[in-house]
Amino acid sequence: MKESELTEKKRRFIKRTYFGVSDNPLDDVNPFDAWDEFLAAKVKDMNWGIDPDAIKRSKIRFAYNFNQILVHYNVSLALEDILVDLDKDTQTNGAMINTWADKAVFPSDKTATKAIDK
Amino acid sequence: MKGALLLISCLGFGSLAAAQTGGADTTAKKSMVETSASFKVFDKYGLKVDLKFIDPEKGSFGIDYQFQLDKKLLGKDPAKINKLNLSLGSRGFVTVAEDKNKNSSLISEIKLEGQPLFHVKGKDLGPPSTIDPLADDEPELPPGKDPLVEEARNLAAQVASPLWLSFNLHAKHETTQDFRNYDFAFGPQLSVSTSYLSSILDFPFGLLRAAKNNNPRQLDLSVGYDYVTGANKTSLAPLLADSKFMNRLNLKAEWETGILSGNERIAFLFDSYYDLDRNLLLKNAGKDWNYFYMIRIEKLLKINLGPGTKTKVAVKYTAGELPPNFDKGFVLGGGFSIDF
Repeated sequence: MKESELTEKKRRFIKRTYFGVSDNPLDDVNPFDAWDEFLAAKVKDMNWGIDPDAIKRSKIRFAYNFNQILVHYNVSLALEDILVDLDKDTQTNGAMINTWADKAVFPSDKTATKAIDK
Repeated sequence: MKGALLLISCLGFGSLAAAQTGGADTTAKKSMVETSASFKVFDKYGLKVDLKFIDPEKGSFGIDYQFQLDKKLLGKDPAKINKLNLSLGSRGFVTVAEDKNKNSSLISEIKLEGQPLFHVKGKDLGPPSTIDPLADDEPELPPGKDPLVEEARNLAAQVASPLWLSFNLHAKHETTQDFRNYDFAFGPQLSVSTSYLSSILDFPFGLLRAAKNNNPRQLDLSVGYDYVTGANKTSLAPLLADSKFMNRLNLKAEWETGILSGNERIAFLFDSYYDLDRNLLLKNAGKDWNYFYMIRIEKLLKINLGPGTKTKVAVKYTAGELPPNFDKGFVLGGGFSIDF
């Protein structure tokens, strides 16, 4: 698979899981229902909360859930990597997804690393 | 009512927000947060300013602001969620005509926070998925019809912790906009975020809701104690019989949920202060239990004004009493905003 194609697939996977986890029926912080609105929206446009402390807590809960779901799909993205980007309120969801996709370790990355080691 | 409707239709609402974190390089770093050798005083800073036009009798033009600086003290392990942070911040509402400000309260505070202190584990997701996350070649579907979005949504509902506990120790400077009245408050606060009560709270809104992806956020509840000194510098002084100290209990709650279709949200914030000494003068003046609340209704508009542009209307009603003076007042603000 070409590098650009692989990168695009990683971004697509992160985009879909980020959307789903943020749309958690028990803790919904995602007010969007279309991809273009969701990707163009800034991080602060998600419904994290009103009080600054409640916003912090909301982001921690999301980061914890997102990390767990990614682990379920054998994708590693550290909690801190998730939280660092969630704190950049003025960046778009699209930009944040690209950053997370670059930082995350997918099963194919692990296979490639093993092959290089051999 | 007519006046209120006229006010809403005439009001404008703008927002400006800036936030930044330090030391976060966005270039590829495989699953590892960069450990920078450079010294940073704060790990994160944020500023949020909402400009709004309000009733001319209440100052015509007002600014809601929030400012915060955070420094991580313990818990820098990227794999662990429990952190100890130092936080400096200020928040309040100021109006052009300061004597007409009915929510005159500027609170600056320093906090030592444990976030989160504890959480109840959600359900186990079972063995990891054997599906290659990058194997999917299906054409893109809208989020509402995408099977992976639906699966992630369901998995999140399973793994989500139903109860989180956080705490802080804080020192606050509470003042009016003209800085003539002020006090200092110190104490601890315990916060709970939970989804246990969501189904009860959401019941009436759920009946009026058509979209399934517009659900409640966890309820956020805080209980705090404030030892207040300098209360004789506030307008409560005549009610305190020469005492400058107060023992105060602070209860705070916030919650929001979706209403009607998929693009409307209603949010509630309640903040109350209860005087534990319940001095008779305060009680008779109705100042032993003070509360403040906010109701905000927001609607995202589907107007295409170009890529990256988002439009929304919001109506925000705030009423009640805030420290240090706990003067009763209300502000209705709202309007139309475009984010580019």
